[in-house]
Amino acid sequence: MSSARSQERWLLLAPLTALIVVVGGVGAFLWITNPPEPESSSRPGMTEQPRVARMPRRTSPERPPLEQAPWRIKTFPVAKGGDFTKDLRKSWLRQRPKIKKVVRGVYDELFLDGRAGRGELRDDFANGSGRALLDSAAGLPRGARRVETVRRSARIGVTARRPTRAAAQVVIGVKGLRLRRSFRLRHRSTLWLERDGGRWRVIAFEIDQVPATKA
Amino acid sequence: MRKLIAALVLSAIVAVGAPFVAPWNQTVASPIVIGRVHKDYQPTRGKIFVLVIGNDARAGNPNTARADGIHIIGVNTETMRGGILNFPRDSWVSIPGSGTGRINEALYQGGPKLLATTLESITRIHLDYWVMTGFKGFSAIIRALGGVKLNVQRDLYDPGGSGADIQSGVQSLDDHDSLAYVRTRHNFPQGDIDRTTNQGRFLLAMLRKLRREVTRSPAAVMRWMAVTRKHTRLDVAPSVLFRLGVLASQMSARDIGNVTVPVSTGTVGAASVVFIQPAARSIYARFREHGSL
Repeated sequence: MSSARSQERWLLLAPLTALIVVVGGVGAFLWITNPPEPESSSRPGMTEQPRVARMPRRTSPERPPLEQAPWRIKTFPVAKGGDFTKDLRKSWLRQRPKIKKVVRGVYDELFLDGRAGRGELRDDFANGSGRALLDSAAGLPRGARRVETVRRSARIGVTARRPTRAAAQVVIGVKGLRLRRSFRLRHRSTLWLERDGGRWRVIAFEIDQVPATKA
Repeated sequence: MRKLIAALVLSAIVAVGAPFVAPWNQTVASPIVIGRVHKDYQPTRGKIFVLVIGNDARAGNPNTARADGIHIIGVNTETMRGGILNFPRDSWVSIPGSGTGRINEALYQGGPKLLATTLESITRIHLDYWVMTGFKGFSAIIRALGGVKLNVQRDLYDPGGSGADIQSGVQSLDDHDSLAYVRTRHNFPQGDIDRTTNQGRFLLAMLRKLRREVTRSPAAVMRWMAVTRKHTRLDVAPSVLFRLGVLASQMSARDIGNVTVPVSTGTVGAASVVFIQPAARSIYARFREHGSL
């Protein structure tokens, strides 16, 4: 009976002993690498003890902000018909910056400012297409950080005679980190936009997004 | 109790020891597979039915046109499948407010709206829109779009009728040959019935062309829209036409059935007509329910 008891006691004590050894080892390691600062003497006239030389604590260097790829956007008139007069052209040109702003905004939300990841989108979408875009899982994977766009380009066709409809073909290349691993994405999409009053809105989209082959 | 203590001890060892096993802050350069995302969003929802009418209006009869081509195009935006249901122009039917007659008479008597009402009463399919063009408009559309490529199933030679002189096989048809193709009936064993089916094939060829062009440049939707509005009469608002164009550009011709209502030939008095068979009712029901064939 007594030998059984001592065996039981040993079974309990062995892992406890191992734990004590490990914790002790960790503590010793930490002590050696980061000894406490010697207290400086407050008595007047007393010289300070020389400091013990030690390895400087490693700190991450301050990271510069990531540079994003410049947008390369080309716009062109569609269905010019017979006579694309100066006035028609002026009217068409007035819409260009507004459309570009909407297109840039959509992709900033998907890839840069994190709004899409939080389930928010600006009011650039009509008839539920915004919700559908969020549900499509396009954009960044969850937890992505250090996101850098390596390419941002768009070709946008806008109806010429009455600039109320547009189609944007967009390519975005992205790299970043997620769960301590790097990733790359290639995103191609088409947005169809319509002008309602003064506002351009997305009414339909098509997305093709894949991981790029190079890591 | 002993087991609990052992489990706690083991957990503690793992918790303390783990950082020494997997170094942190090290980047491993392998891509994370996000998966392919290919989601479309369509600007309209549900089932849509459009009546497409080709009339025989030409220089000699601008105001007395009859319908030469009568097709109901249906689309189910949930399944992205569709159908083209073709009606031979000599189909003997009941025309609301006019008694009975050939279906193409409805256009002559009451315009596209009466033809639409006639078809709705036959099929019990609610038609959302109609689009109509004549010989001149059809040719202008094909010219503006640069022709249509399709697989011609048999040699067509009809110099005294449609003017067709087209070899079988994959052909790029210009405006003249396209019009001849959709008008030819004498080269076919079932005459007008086969012509009607051919017209459905031509519509599918146009869809394939639209899709090819939109794949290259999505702005092609707007160009097709401009051409359609210029050379057809239609009761579709521009914003709706735009949405329909975007929708159409996303559809595959493979997912669209081309069906001609089953008919039998006969006569009414001296007139040569066709009678729609009872089997057509199940086709209408399927089309109505699914928006596809």
